[in-house]
Amino acid sequence: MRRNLAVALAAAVLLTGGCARHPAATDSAPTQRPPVDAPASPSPRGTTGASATTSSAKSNADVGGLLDEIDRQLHGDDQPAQDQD
Amino acid sequence: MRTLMNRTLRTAVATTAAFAVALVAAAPAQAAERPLDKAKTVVTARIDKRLAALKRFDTTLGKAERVQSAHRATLAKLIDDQTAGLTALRTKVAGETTAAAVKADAQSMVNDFRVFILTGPKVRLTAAIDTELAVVDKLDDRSDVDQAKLKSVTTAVNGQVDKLLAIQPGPDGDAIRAQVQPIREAARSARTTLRSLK
Repeated sequence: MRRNLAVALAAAVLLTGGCARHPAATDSAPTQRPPVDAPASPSPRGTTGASATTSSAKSNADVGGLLDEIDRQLHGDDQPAQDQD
Repeated sequence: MRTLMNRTLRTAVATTAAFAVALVAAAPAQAAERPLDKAKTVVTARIDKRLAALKRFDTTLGKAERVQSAHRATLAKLIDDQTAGLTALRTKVAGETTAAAVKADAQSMVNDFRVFILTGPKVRLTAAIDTELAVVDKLDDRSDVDQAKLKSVTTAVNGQVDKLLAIQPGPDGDAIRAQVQPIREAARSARTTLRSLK
């Protein structure tokens, strides 16, 4: 009976100590953080990639518009003046 | 009957002679007046052409969104000053009494303003070059763009607008054209390079 009680007590102590140690170990080990963050990262990266593509397309359109504007100005400059003075 | 015919003929001859004398007498006065009026009309029309062009340049400047603010202010003042100057010259021409004075006004209209060979290019090339610099800014951070070529564009056009805006009107039209031409070529070359980079 005493032996059973001692075994149960020892098991309870070990179990409680083990459970308490696990959160402490997680908090104190920064190296374990990246895996926690890791699953979330693919999604933002994917989003960033998509927005980069959109942004690049927008930038291309902007640049195209500006180049057309330059063409208009230079074309106007190529036209003969009304008076040559 | 014959007497009546003779009298009618004599009256007709006398009337024709009087009319001819009147015409000959009036001719020198008209000849003196007509060239002056004609000269005034011609010079006024040329001034109006310049005033209309300045209005168009103002519209062009207003639409050119990428013109840098200091350049815009300089060009806006130039257009305003030239519009005021040419409007005053137009009034002066209307009041001139000699052909020599009208001729001097015509020279002033050209030499003091140079609307077509200088003001127009100032507006258009400034708009083009400042827009080219805006394109350079947009392409500056792009990894798929040849940055060395982009830098060459910046080097080629940087400071060209200031140089252009510093050119002053004057009697030597060829000298003005010679100063504007390299700036025009720099703007064209930059445009070609930027098109190849896009």
